[in-house]
Amino acid sequence: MRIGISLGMAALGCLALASCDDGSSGATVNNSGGRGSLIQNPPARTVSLSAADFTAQLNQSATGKQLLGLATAGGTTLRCGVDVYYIQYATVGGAGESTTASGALMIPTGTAAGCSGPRPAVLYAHATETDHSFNMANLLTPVDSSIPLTAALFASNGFIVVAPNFAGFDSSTLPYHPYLNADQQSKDMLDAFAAARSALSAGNLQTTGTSFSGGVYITGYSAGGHAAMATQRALEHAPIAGVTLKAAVHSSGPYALAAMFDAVVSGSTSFGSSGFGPLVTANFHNSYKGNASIGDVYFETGTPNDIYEDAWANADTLFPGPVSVDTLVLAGTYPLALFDGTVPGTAAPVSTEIASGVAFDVSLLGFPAGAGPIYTGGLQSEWASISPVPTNPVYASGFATGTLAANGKPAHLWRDSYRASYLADAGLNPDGLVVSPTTGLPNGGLPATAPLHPARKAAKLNDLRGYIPAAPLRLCGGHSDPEVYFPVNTLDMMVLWSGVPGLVGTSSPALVSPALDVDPGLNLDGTSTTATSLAYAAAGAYVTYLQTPGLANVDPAAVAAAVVAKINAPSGPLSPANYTLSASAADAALQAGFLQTTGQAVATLVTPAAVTGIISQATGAAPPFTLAAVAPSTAAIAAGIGKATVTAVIEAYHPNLVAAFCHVSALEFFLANP
Amino acid sequence: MTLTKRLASPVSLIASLIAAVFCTAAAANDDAVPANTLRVGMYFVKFSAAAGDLSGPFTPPGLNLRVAEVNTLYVAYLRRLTSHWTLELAAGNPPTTHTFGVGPARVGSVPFNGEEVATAKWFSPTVLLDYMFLDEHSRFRPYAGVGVNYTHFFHRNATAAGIAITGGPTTTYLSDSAGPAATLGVSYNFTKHCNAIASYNVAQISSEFDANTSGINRTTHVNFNPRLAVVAVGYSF
Repeated sequence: MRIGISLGMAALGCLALASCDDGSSGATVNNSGGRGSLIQNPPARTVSLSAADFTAQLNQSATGKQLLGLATAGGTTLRCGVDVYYIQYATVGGAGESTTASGALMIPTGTAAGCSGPRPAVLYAHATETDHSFNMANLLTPVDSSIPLTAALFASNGFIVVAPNFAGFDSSTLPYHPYLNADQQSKDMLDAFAAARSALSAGNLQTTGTSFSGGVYITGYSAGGHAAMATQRALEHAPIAGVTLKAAVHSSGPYALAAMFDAVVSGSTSFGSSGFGPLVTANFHNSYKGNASIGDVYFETGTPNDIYEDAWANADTLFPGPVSVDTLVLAGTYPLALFDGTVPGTAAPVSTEIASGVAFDVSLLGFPAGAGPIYTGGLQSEWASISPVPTNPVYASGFATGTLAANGKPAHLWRDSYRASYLADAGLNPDGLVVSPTTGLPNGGLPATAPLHPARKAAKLNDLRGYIPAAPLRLCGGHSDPEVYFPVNTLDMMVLWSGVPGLVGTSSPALVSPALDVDPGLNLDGTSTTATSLAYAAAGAYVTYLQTPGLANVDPAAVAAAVVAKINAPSGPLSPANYTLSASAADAALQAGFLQTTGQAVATLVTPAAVTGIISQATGAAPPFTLAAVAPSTAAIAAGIGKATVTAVIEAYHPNLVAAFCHVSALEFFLANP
Repeated sequence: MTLTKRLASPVSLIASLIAAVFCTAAAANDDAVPANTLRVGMYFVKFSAAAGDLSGPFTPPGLNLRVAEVNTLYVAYLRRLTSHWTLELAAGNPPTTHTFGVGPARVGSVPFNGEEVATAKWFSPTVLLDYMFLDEHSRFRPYAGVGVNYTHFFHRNATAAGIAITGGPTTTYLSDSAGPAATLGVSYNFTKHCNAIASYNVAQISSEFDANTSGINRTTHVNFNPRLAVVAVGYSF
């Protein structure tokens, strides 16, 4: 006897399994590739933090407490919560190739005033990173303090933040990073901005109640300062309907890129060059090898061996990579030095490569036969005259001879022949900041008229001199910066802008505010500081006004005159003296007390006496401090390793100290330009 | 395993009715031992689920899951092979299981611990070869069986609380499972045609869990470790 049991059989009919496999609907994926398109719609929220929870998270560490103080002007509680989204968007590489990139969209939340409803946006350009996995959207477990700093400072103060990781990082499909590529970086920033705007207007985010008001601000630090200024330029040239650029703050950036590179290659090697250098050549090679007006920086054989010693031929594929440059240098497996050279203070510098008779084919560069200083008087003597190893310990750390103990590889990266080819062009076609040997005057302060070397052509293409801003702008930096030189970059831009009637001033209609020098030592460089700055109030620090008689608080003409006088130093065309930080200025900076050692809370650096104690403790030296006394030892330079305790002061200046203050000054400037 | 007040449930009422209708009347031609049996009853399922912490991008450590217990209708068909061996094909009315977060009270500011984050329906048939102790004249016959379970998960959904954690619309995946199963039970014959059983069942059911949120995949491996108690009535023919 058969009995049909019908209970439950209908459900068991789900044997047609496909028809039952419906999960929740997921995100729409857009692979159309149009620039600025959001690839995952909606993007995923990576973390949601209320103001109270974010405050509590920051209070768990010394660095976090410091960030909390900076973000709240010395207060104890953040105003807005933050929801962070991971956005992926279509953009372009340095040669116009289609690619993707990722970044963070941070949205303020909460019921406090100004935390929801229509809110303005900050486009944020991060500083140099060599770790490929760097991700601005990872606020819950950040690998870099710039991430919580950006969230606490801007998002928790009511700004929507768009912070791209940039092409070449994280999930980007681009196999290199277009480092300091002004055109690509501006497109990257604006494509991230477009993707963020479409996410905000789609109405399908987990966060509700906040929309984009139409007002936008731009800021960035170091390489990000260069990207931010390029983005402001791009946005002013091609405005976006419904978007109003309110203000911008660019900090510690290499705006005068060609002059900066000329200074570095001529011997004023900036601290960290062995990390910056490969990022630069990777960008130049990948972006311009197919560009007829620039050419491949590997101009001899088309391989990286043209620039790098054979053992380091892979240098410009190392970053962004799985290991940061700091880790490699501290492990002793990667050079700190860019260039070959003897230790300063000993005999005249010798280039083993040039001494062995190596020469390069200048016809490849299009030089006139016999032209340039490198061809007269013999190659070796010319080499000595144009490429002295500097005695300034910061610059000297960019030079090394011998090999690394850990792996026997050369303790420097660049071939002398490539450096010589660069310097030959720099002599033939000098940058406008360099005093001309024939006229005794700088050539207007702008890049060289007609460089021939591909690296100098590429640098000129990405040099931002000549840009005239059309929205309120302020530059910020520290005048003792050993990584991105303040006089060459920030001062030069201010001088050029001071030449435009009415552009520089403290109130409308002037657009460019006086540059902010957060290092309150003796300001020999003609910039002004303001005691009412929120940056200073937050840090509990103090500032000094100009000490030089006759230079009252803001006098653009006087600023320009003072800077030009400094640039017109009586020295040879490629002398590092044109770009050298004077020893006395560095001493004054150290003594005035703003340099911190690793782990010290900025908030404690309120008096020169406190700082004196900190530096003594870190270096074992006694005041008055000189840069030589706290610089790496001779043996350390020869070993190519910067030891943390000895160089902590130099290492912390750019990425920690000035960065913290200049970020806060950006917030202040944005609040002052609603 | 206990016979609980589940008898109050509608399903058990129906089972009781079937037993009442078919089992009280004496059957006329019952010389041969019936070869087929249909059972209906209830599964009472508890999980001792063990999973690795969820891993993936933007996923802090310490996020784990548990599965709440569930009851569902049990149906089975049994075929007598010999006086001692029986083949059993059992299945449940696909239950919906509820998965809860285990870990920190909040991830960021989003509640996690104790929040129901996902649901899924199970299609989970089991085939067993049972050995019946004693003999076919005994009223009580204990039995033990081993076999294979296959499980397919469908109608998988993340809840609103789950989506708040993952950060956006989320598609969840649970891979199919195939694994050994075993049973230990006792059968009571009221009559030649009507019987009832109570049994304790285990099965190895494991699955790869994947939650995809706008391309962010968070995964873990789950061993469900179900412990299933069954009470059922059967009609043999």
